[in-house]
Amino acid sequence: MPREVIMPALGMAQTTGLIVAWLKKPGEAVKTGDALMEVETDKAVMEVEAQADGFLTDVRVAAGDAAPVGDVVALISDSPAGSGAAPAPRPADAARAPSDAPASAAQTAPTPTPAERRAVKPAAEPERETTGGRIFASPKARRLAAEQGLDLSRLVAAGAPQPYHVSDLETLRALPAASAVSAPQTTSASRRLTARVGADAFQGFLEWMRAETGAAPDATSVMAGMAAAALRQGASDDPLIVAAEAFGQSRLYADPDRPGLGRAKAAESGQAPFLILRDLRGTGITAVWMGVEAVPVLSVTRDGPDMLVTLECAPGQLKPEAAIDLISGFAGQLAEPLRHLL
Amino acid sequence: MRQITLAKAVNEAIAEEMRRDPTIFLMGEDVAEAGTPFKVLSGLVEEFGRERIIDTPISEPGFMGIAVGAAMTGSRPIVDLMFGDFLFLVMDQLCNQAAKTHYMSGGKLKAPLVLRTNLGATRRSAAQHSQSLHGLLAHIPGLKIALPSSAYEAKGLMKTAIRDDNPVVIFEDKLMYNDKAPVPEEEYLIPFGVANILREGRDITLIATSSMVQVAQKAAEMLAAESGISAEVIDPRTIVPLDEETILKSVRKTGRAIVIDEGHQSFGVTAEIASRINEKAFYYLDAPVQRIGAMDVPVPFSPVLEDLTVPTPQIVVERARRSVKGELFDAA
Repeated sequence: MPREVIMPALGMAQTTGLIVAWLKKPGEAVKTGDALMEVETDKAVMEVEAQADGFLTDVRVAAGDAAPVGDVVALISDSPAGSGAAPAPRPADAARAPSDAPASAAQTAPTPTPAERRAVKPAAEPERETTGGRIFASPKARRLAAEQGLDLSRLVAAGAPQPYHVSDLETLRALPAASAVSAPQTTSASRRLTARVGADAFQGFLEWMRAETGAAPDATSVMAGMAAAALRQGASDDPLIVAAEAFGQSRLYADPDRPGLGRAKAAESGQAPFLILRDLRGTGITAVWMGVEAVPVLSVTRDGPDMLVTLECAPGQLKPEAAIDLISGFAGQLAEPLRHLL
Repeated sequence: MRQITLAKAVNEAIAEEMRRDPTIFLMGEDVAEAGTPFKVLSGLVEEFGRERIIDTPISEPGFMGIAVGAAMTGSRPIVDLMFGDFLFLVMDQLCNQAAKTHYMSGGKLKAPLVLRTNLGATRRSAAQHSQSLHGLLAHIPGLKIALPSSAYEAKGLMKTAIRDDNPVVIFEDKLMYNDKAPVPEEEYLIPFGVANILREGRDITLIATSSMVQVAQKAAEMLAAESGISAEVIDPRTIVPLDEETILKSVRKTGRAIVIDEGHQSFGVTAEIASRINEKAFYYLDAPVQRIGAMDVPVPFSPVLEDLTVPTPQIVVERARRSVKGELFDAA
């Protein structure tokens, strides 16, 4: 599947970038990290590296032309012929030379429709896989992203250079897929339930785990296990994927309630979660009202000595009794963590 | 309002307090007729006599010990230490005795003394007369440390120091004695542990002590004029006690901070303040907290080299600019 080459935001106030030169020819093999093109911003000319292995194809913006930040300027495809059907002979490549007119529609990769993007969105993991590991962002940018439900990995996917600061969140908000994902969904009817539990019991439980195992447990993973158990309550043995989010980072767990709390295994990337657990305890947020997302979302916030649990979902995602069971089961485990062991 | 020099402000503070309280006396090297090498105390011996303005031999450990004993038995001594570098000579009297007397006597004794001395390089005084050692003393519980940044600050902080029942060390910058500032005729005191916000800003907080406050002010002016960057300038006034709240509140607002102090950078005042910001305002930081201290070298005698070892407005401006642009980042 072809990967998009996107005009990155190289400066804080940059809206377009001028492609000074392509450093690879169409059809030429590229490796992740190879210098792909030279882009001029208001301040400097910078080399932009390839974010994937493959072949440079479908060059849509010729050298000497400018493109808006976030626009697809080329593709990195699995074959030298690009996203079109069969591999084309060399003369066809010449027709796509950078100096020529923009590529024809037949050579353009199919851009995911909003609907396709929506389906892919909850499992945003693959995008992060390609950029590898940790995202560098300031603590403030991370906190604001968590508070506003923004996914920093989308900036990585868009090719924006790290580290990310608060100013980069504007770029993130402006990325086209964001509106496609959230706009139609947040307007639909929703269920929202909240529960309040004292924070002491869960904190004490973590400390007990630390004493037992000798290592500080990952609180978010422990909560993911409890959430999965609450969702599973009396129901199926089907595999259960939970996406756990904390400080703008998202992890995917498979059956986190099964291997014992805190030892949850990462799910294979690309799988769609049944539930998102959003750990917002490290932020100043006390109340959550984010609206419906692709799957039910459990948010945990701190409010003085208490934790507030909020469940948001669409009526079609959970029936009333299932929603009540889920939040009361989860809140009950936070209040009395030993219940999970029974 | 009248303008007076920092030297005159210190002189006035001591004279006013000595008139008010007969238990106060002052001693040190060349403090009487000579009025100290910086002429800070000129005229005091004429008004208060040799009983209360006492010239000592060159014997810092001796007269510091006398002061601790006098303080424990009802006097309120002011000790004049000609150069801050001589602190190394009085460490036991100051840190083992004065700082711990109240604690070890179960509160039955106190040591209300003031040690006034100085800091600051670029006076071409070489490595043994140019150090800024306030961070060293701030490490010792039981001592309070005041760092006046102007004539106004020097007078108000000195009067508070003299009235404090704990040992207080007050460091004046030896290059600022002739700097003038508006100082009111009427009496005023400046409480310890209350920072001064000299300039309000939006983009970055500059926390600076002593003469570095001038450096930060100058940098803030340059940043505003040249880069449109709005810097907030905070003078903690005392580093023990430290007004953490004012600093944290500012950093939570701006998201960025640079700490500037003339002590050696490693293990110093800048490290302590930067660390507290990291611990208590981490999720509000949009850039790593920067430290700018003096270079970790003995202060050179060569004027050219000496000037390179201390923080300057240009260094602050450069770091602030890169911080605001999001450039300063060490991921390794």
